[in-house]
Amino acid sequence: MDYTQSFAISAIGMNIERARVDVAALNLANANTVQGVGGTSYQPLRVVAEARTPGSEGAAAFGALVSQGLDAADAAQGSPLVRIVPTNAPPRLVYEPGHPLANERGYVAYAAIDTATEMVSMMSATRAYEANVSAMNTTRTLALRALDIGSNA
Amino acid sequence: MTDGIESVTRSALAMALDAASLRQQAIATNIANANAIGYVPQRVSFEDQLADARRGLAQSGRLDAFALSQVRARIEPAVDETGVPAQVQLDAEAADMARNAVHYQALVKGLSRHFAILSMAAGDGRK
Amino acid sequence: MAFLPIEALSSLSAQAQSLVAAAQSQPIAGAVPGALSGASRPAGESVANSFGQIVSDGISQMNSKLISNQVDLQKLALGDAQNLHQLMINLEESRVSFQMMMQVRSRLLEAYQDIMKMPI
Repeated sequence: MDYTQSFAISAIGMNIERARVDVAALNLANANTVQGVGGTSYQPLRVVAEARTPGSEGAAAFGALVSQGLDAADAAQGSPLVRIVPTNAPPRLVYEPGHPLANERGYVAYAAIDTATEMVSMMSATRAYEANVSAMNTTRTLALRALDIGSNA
Repeated sequence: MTDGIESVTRSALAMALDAASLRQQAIATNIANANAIGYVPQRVSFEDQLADARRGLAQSGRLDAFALSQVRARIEPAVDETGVPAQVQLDAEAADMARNAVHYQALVKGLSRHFAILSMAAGDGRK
Repeated sequence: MAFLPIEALSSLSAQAQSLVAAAQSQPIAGAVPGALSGASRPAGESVANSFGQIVSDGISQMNSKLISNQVDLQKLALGDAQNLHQLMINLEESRVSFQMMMQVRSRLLEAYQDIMKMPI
């Protein structure tokens, strides 16, 4: 079987999970930024990974997967498409009338980031990263074992 | 070396190794796509094609080469009876990967021992 | 059905019988040929038969052990979860027995050649 493809897919998986951790760290760093005078505020980012399937959805995707079989030669067939997109969540309003950037009703618009959610997503991305590392190590072990087939035992 | 019980064993072990390495590839793909939207987990179909071969082996004590000839390891999507795709579960994939890795290494060792005895006979007891 | 390496040894039992019979029929140096060979001939033949019998019994035991190893390997390939350690133990046992068989064959051949070299 094609071990190169396996290594490439595990590397892409690790990449995605690392991007998730980076994005969560960036969001956390900007958690307490306030919407400025000109209306610019920090939009939290999110990593979106979509399965790469030929055909949009439904029966076409399943049929394509079934017909893959052993003849799938495209190296990118199994890897997902990744995008980093800003979310459109409305800002978090906190009542602070004395704040210099408060609006006319006394509310300050903080960036729409929930610290707990970002921490959880960072932890689950770390676990998924470790799973990808383990998959790559196992692939390497099996490939090396295949080299031992022979009459030495 | 093309007739007899040892060639059937060699073919069966080679096919099982094909299936195990394809399964490792499918599991690695599932883990990489663990959080991908719209992804259908891949499974490998091999052992479930072997019902006839197992029956023959249990009845006659020998594996029939013909029963193996139609069997081929292939990738299938993991969907249940109604066509709903399963979700990737990291813990299940990790356990499956561990089991498959042990099975693969057992097959490699078995194949090596098989060749070792044949080579001893071919070498007439001298290395 | 014989496992392939067994066919390589399958003539061993016939060889063993003929070796021992040949050795017994050579008169021992310094002894009285007539009385000794006459007395030992029937005993010699029965010894030759039982030794050859032992060797061919050993070979058929080896054969069945090797065939059951092959069947175990086939079960492993079909995915039956079985005792891996028992399988490995059986494989190693039959490998060692096979080596011992090869040694027995080599020693018998050496002994035969030694005896053949003895001057009459």
